[in-house]
Amino acid sequence: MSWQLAEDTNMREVRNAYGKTLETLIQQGKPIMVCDADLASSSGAGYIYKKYPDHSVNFGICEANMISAAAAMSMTGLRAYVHSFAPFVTRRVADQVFMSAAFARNDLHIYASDPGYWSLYNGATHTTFEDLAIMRSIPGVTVVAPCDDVQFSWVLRYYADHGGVIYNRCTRKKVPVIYSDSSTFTYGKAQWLKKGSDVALIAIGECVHDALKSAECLEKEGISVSVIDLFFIKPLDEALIQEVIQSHKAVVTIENHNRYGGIGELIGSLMAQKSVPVRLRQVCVEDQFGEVGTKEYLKEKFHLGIDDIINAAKDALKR
Amino acid sequence: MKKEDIIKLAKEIRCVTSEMFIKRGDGHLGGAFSIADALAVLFGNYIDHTENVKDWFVLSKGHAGPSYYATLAILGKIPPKHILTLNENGTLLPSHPDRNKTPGVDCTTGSLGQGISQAVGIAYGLKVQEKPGYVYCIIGDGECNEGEVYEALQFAAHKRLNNLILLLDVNQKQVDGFTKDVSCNFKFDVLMDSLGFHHVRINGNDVDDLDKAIQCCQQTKNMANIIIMDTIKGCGIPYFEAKENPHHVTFNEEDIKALKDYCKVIKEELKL
Repeated sequence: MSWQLAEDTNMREVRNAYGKTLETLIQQGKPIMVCDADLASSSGAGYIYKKYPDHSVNFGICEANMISAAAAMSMTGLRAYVHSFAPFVTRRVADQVFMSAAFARNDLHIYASDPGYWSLYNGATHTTFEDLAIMRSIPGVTVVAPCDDVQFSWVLRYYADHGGVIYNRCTRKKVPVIYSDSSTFTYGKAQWLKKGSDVALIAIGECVHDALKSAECLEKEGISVSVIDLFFIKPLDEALIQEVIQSHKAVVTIENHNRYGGIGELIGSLMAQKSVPVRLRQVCVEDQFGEVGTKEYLKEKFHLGIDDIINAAKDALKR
Repeated sequence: MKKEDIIKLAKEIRCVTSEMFIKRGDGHLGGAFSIADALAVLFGNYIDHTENVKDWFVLSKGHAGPSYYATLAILGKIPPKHILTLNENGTLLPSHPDRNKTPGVDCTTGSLGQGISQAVGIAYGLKVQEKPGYVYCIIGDGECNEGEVYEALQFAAHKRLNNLILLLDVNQKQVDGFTKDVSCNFKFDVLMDSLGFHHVRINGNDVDDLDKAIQCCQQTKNMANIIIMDTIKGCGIPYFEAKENPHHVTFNEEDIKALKDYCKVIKEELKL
């Protein structure tokens, strides 16, 4: 079993996968606890709270308590899934994730929904362009950024079986489906979706779809393009990334995140360890705060669009 | 255990804690001593770790770790050779309790406010799975500056966690002075009443009071419990009780003498 690309690019809401997958896990008899901090009705798992009261608990607007308490539940044999908008399960609770979950070696799945520009009309206060930097730096925390609901669901199932502290950064909203429904993934592995030789586009989350679209445009201009869905920010698939670095003239990283502590820095540090003449360009947020707006407006504002990816790739290939 | 044995245990806890501090040269003495009687009652008479039952202990005011370690050492959970290694390089006994490092420690604490949250999580986890056992958790009055404490209290009250028994150590002092000066002059009875707790206020350095309060809390059917313990910071050694603030002490010669004198008296009395 492994992954395959979906035949059609349907749009599907990730939040539907959250509720459905958790319900399936409950029906399979997994000892899971679904937790929210007054955003149960937004997460996609809202109906679980009425249908399975012994598998769900709403903490009210108390994210710090939710993180510590949910992590501690693992000592009694439960595996907790907490959800909130990304800022409230990262910036607000960094110390709780650090001590009660990671350092104490408790289990915890954190669904950080609507990261980066996905906060849309909630604006700057709800925008996280720094969450990967925060979560990456905590020892023992697995950091993933699924690109569609298929990959997202796989993470939920993986955690039910293996535990650990998993930071799952993903929108709740509609995104194009990249993978076939039967796809499975491997812990710590990136997916090399398209193989080329000139430029490699390494992306996370919904930016993977933008990378695929950008590749189509670049190929029309005679540029050979690889597209890599990084998926795991930590642990990083170093073997695959090293192979990519060695076999391309340029690398472009694409992320809905700040330059500082994002995947561009991560890939750059790996490149610096090898003496290869490869140029790196980063499509990322340039140390800015978010603002309200539509997704299209925000992507244009922060230079995270397909045109930005194409320009970065061409610039990196200039000699 | 009989009352006199609990009193002896409390003295031995203070004595072993003193020896740890003498070896180390500094330590969070005040809060470690104010809870020594509560530790003696809890571990002497209540906390059950037999095969079928597991009670839990969470030291939310993790800086009182040394008297927790002393208790575990006296009960044989921590091997004697480790007890004087507090905060040494590579020790099993770090300043704040670490469940992955120290034998017998249930829960990792140290960042204030998170212990009580973990305690409510454990209590809730036990309750939904219909597992037996009480969760005993000691929090500090200074710790009640932390917002997370109130989040945890809300949760415990709302979920009616009657398998949770909180013990609030009201020793009235924190790092920078009297709690009433640094933060608020908390009226904990009123506060706990308004949150919907079953609450009892006692002398937290009186083993009879402690024993009765815990028994009373174990009868509660549908409310979370809190024992508000009025205690004396540094309780047990009048020299430290009289200090303006013995929260954390770097010991001078006079301090060391007071600790050594205490140990001598207790060892003779208990024939240790």
